[in-house]
Amino acid sequence: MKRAFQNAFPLLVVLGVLFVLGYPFAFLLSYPLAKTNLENRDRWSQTTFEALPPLDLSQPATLRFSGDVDLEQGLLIQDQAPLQLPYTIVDNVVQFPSVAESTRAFTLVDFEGAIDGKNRVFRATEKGAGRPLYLNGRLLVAGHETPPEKPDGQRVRFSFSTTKGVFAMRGLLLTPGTDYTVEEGSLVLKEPAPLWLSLRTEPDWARPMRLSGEYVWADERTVVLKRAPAPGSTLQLAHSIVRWAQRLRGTVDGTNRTFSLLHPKLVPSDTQRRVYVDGRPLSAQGRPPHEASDGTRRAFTFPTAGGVITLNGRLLQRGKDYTQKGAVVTLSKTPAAHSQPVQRDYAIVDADQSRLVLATAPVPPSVVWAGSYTVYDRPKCGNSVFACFLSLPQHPAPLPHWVFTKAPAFLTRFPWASDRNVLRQVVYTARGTFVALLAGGAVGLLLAALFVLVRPLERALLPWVIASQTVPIIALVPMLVLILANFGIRIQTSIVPTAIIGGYLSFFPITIGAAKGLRSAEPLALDLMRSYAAHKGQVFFKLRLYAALPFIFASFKVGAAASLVGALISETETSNAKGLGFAILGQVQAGNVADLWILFFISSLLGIVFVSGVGWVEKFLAPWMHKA
Amino acid sequence: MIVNVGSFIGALLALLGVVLGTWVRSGLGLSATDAAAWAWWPLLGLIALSLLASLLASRWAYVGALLLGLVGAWVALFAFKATLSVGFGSVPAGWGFWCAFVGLLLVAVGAMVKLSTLQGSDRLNRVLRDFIPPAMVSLLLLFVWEGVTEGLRIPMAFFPRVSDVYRVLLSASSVLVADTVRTVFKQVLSGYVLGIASGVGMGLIVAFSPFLRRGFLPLATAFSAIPIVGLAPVLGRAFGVDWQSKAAVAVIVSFFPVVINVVQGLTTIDPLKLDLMRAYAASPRHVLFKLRFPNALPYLFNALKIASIIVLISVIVAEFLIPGPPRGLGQRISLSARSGRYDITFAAIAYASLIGILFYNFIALLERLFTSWHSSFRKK
Repeated sequence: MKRAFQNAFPLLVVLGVLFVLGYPFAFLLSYPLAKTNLENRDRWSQTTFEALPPLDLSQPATLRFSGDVDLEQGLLIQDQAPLQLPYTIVDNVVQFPSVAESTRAFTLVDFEGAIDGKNRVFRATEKGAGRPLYLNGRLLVAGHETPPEKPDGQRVRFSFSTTKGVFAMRGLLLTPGTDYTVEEGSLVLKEPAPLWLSLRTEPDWARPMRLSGEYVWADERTVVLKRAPAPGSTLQLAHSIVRWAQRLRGTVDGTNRTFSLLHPKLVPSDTQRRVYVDGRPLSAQGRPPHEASDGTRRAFTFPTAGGVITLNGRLLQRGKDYTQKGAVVTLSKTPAAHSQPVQRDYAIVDADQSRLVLATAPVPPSVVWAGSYTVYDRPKCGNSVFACFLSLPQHPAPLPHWVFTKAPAFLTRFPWASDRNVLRQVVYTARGTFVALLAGGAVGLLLAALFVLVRPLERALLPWVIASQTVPIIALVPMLVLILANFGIRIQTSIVPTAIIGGYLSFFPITIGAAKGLRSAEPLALDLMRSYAAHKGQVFFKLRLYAALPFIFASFKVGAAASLVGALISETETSNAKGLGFAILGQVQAGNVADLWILFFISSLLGIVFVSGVGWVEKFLAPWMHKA
Repeated sequence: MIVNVGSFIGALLALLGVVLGTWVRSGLGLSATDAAAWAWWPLLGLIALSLLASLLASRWAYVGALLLGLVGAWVALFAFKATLSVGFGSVPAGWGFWCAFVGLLLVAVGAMVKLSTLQGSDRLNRVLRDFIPPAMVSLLLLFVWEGVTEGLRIPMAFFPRVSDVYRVLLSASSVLVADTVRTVFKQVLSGYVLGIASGVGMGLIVAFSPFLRRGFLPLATAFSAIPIVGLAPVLGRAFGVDWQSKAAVAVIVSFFPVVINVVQGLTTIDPLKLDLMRAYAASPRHVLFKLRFPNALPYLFNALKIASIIVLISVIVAEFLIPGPPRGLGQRISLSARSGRYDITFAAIAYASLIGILFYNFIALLERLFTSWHSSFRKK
């Protein structure tokens, strides 16, 4: 008992240390991924700043806007132009001198649909999606959640963060029971959601939606409200309304062309960005020249005479990098072929500071303002590398305790009768390994015997035996599939490829080990056999074979591990769904790292079982070897 | 008196095939097949000479029969290939071709057996006995491969011919060399060196701590059973799909054999030698440098040889499993096999084998240089 403990204790301690080291190890392996997630702007969330509609229309002489903006930093606009009415801002509230003038500023459109305290679906008389909506003069908050699944004409199951609440699809309010049921936290439609034919411009309302705000546009004209408005309320769509827009920072003095947006970290590729000088929009998109850049051309003709010129996104300095005569721009350096000189209304000089350079300096009293623009907000994964590490959906290595907490569920996920039950897969792979070891052992022993008995054959074939191990067998699996299929073997369910590949990998160590063993008979014993006039066969079976046994068993231990690897490779490559190799492949593709590492542990346990199994056979067949 | 029975039977078989057999299946004999009739007299001549050679008991007669058999098989193959151009493109060979081809190869095999059993120890005999047969076996295997794939008209998308592979080796050598350089220098060597360095370090630590020896070694054995098919994608996710992840695979597969062997080499020391060192009153430092390290060297080199083979194959398999930029031998093999271009696959495999064998022999050479004192290198 004490002895057993003494033997097991170091192993347990090392296992414990490895368990603890598993945490920094997991972090180390995930570090590059976490760092990329933290630093790569493509993986940041984005915020779009748009001109804001007023919160409340019930008091036409004063307008309030969302409380977290400083109205002094912007201006009122209407219909893409600064508002032409006089107003003052007092305590972050806009005040108009008289009611009559301010009411003129709003155009409201009424809805069709009875306001009876029950009805929640209203239809606008014109396209309204995206415009603000007012109930009794109060701005309603829009908001909806779409499922990650796309309708394909057959799918009925859609997952949401919660299944409570109101659902709508394609202009219709979905009724629980008649239109959908809730199963396992997902929405299950009675009829499949129809496929939206134009895949590129699929709007949200083509999918089932859950209302997370007060209303949602269920198609271009139909709005679905979360709560039915009480009788006597008025529901209005703002058609043309005063909004508050951000002003760009920078002095308007007729010479300054550099302005910056209020919020930093501009998304450079944003094509929806709208910047205005007074009522004139500046295009976010560039105008290419008439001529293509072919590596020799330096002069390019642009549609207009104005604009700033960028080359591959870099701003060029007028006078230094190019000269301009009318609409013709001559670059001082010949641009490379396929590079892109572009004329723009404005260019981004510093995306991090959201700084822009306009083509022409605005003159007072113009205002430069932003209709809408998008900036990078923050990393989606968190604010530190560690937070990003924890939030990785697919860790390269799992945290050690995951392996233990997830093992019971993983092992019992499928019933014993199913082919996907892990224990069943282990048994199947063990069977394949065994067959492969038998095949490789038979071939290996035969070759070794031939090599020892017919010496020239060894010289001729040994280089080929070594070369065979430098051939990546995995490369030949597709060919093996073809050939076996030609013999009428169904590769996905057959054990033959496992036997072939595992045997191929395991015959080598067995051949080498057994050949060495067959030669290791003591010269004295050989002399004795000769003095008995024993013939070649007798020497082989009575002396050489016994002398070779330790070597043969040692090489069978190596071969067993090789067979296991071969069996796993073959199951992976032939998609044999009954085996452990296929399960590993499945977990790799699904990215279930903890489950993958559980499978690793299982396969190394299987390897240990096989190696010690060979040792057990050795004890049974050649007990004299363990006497010493 | 017939000296060389194998060659004699082979020549008779070939004669039967050439004179009576049909050259393409359900077609005409050799002399009546338009495109191949030119081979009639040369083949008859070669067969007659082979018959003559099989009757003579001289080492030169054996060498002659060997050459005659190979040349004859070559001519027969060409005579069959020539029928491709005259409308027999997909018709397999008739029994006449098979008899002639197998018979002529038999002539060569018979002569080879005779050569390999030459008695006498003068220099020429030794060369003929020890070097010719091994080289010939390789050639014969290539002949059989070419003959079977050609004779059965096996399509290339099923199994390529030697001649197809050879053509690719010639025409695409620059690409394949670039692939090899990328695979070997960037991925294999960097991983191998790092794996061995860390393996030796870990081995030293484990060897001098009995506690770790009992606790760590069993785990090292278990770790080698973790399948590379599962591990490679994990490393690919951690280190990216470029060369770093494949080098990481190389580090892992070369680490464990080195650890195990170094520990074994440092600890399994003849007690007699230890006693001797004690009798010399050697300090522990002396025991370490004069006894333990030299004792561990052969074990280390053994591990280096094992690792050199598995590291190459593992990197190629890793390139399979972590599809990255389409360069490197593994990627080439994977892509060509998937598109049915097995000639490219085999050409790349040939490069891989060649590099593997060179690598192995280079380590073996180093071993010979550094451990020339060891008993396994002493002259018998």
